[in-house]
Amino acid sequence: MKIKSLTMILLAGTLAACSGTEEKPVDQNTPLPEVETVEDEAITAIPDDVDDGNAIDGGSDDLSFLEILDDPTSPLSNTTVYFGFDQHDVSGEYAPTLDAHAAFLMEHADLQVVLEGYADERGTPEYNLALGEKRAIAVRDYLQVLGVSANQIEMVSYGEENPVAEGHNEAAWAQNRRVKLAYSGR
Amino acid sequence: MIRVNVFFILVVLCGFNAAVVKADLTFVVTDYVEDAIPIAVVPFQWKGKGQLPGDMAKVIDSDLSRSGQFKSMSRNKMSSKPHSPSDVQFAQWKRQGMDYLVIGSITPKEASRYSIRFYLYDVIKKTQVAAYTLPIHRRVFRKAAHRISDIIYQKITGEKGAFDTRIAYVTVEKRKKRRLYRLKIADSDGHNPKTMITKSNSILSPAWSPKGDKIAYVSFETRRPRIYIQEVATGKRTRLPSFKGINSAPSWSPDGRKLAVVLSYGKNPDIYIYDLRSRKFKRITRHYGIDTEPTWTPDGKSIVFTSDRGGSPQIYEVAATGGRAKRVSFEGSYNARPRVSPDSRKIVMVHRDRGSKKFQISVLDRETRSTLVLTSGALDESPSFSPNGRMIIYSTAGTRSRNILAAVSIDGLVHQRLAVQRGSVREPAWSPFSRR
Repeated sequence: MKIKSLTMILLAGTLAACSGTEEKPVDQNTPLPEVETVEDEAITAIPDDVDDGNAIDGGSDDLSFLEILDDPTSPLSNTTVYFGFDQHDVSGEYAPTLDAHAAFLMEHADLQVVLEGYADERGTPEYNLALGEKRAIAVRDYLQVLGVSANQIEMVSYGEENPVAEGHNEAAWAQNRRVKLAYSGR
Repeated sequence: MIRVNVFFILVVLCGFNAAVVKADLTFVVTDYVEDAIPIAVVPFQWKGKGQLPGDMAKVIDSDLSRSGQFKSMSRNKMSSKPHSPSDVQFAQWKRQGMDYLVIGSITPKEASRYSIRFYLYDVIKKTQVAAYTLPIHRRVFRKAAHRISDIIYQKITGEKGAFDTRIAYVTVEKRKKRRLYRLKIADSDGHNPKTMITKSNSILSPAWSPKGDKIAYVSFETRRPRIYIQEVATGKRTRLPSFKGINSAPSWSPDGRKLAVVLSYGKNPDIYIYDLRSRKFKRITRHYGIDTEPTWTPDGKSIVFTSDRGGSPQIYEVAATGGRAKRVSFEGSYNARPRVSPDSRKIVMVHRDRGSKKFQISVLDRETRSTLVLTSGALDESPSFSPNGRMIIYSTAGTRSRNILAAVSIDGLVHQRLAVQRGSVREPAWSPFSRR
């Protein structure tokens, strides 16, 4: 089982590496480039069997070090970053939390984290899906700046789907505008 | 705005034999136009033996009333029930305030077939407006009734009817801690619901192909948003080539050969066009902000979409070949999920006024740029035009944190609510006209 999952990680990694989808950052001062045609060869579709998002698993057999995530005295016990409405910038108050997670991830180089981006129900489902991804990206960027390897981070946006709080009010919405750091092996 | 508030419940289920499939959605017309046209639809004569195959006049009557543009006469007020032209006494119907009269008969034919004969009369002018004979199969009995409603609607209003159409929508049911998502298709009156697919992860953004034979949608079944195309008749499903990050918001080109989609590659959501034949993607927008919810103009030349490039979500338009996008919505702090009207003149969208907390369905005039708010909910979303552009179906918050469907006319005068049997219902998409 373990070997299979590992192979899948490697495979997914390899695919991502050869896919050649690397996009150059857009320089805001230059005019928009001509529309480019993306060839099939240029962007390799990920086959079904490695595309499940389930391919991530801890590389280590002993996962007891993950118990610290349940220790309320540790900054690692906080695994959620909240956002303002239609906002995707990480508020300064999450610095201690994310600094701790970055250090934790760097200490355990084969540990993987999935950043799940969510939005509240207001506005449109597709826009919220994009917003959830923007939020996950903001958290990823923060972790990467601190030195976490790109290979340790996966992102997925669920938009306004799967709310943790169901009410049609600000209290519920505030809880739903979030990025959840979900560690594999837990 | 002149409105008559009437609570008018149409029980569309009565009077049918056991073969009728229960409806998922039941219509409640909450507002109709004050000058609704009075019409009498007399029960059709059944010329066969045994039980009637169905109450065709009742289906027609319900269709016309549901449009909000007609006010139908109740059967117990009819002092005669003519079936053939020679029995029609115009004076009687005029005295009872009717403008139009519909009569008809159903004759059985071999092999479960029927011949439907119906007449439409202008009571004021004392003339026959239409007379049709429709040979039909028993299994399309209700569909035939909707076609007759379409004919009557068009003869009287001059506008094409959209009764013989379907609605796709997603239902969400909670089972203990799990949620069950179903993509369903029903007739435009909520009858004959059919489940296309059932999943334990979200289903979003159903979109009908222009021929109405396929539906593209987004499913999270692999725990990642991916685009699927499913054939309506066979249920056969294919998945579009998928990439890291978001694969979402499919929209068919008017010729059915391409899909505008959103891909993010885990970096940034932009609009792409996928050619179904060459299976290639072409990038249309390139911006560090969110670009999503693409939709085509009816001429297939432009893509209208949502972007937050100006700081808040607003509507933009770009040539379908790419190039520079221009902003088209200026009123309000949030404008998203555009759909262009079939006549190209309007854009319906989710809108929030500056200083308001409500997300409402609004219509933007593409020429004058004025915005008209059509609904009064706080969480209205996913507007979709009927193929004749007359009605807009959308999702709104119901009671007990459920979503329900509602519809509003393009002028904001007619309002309908579609009560769902159980669970939540969202993401409605109105089909194109059915092919005959």
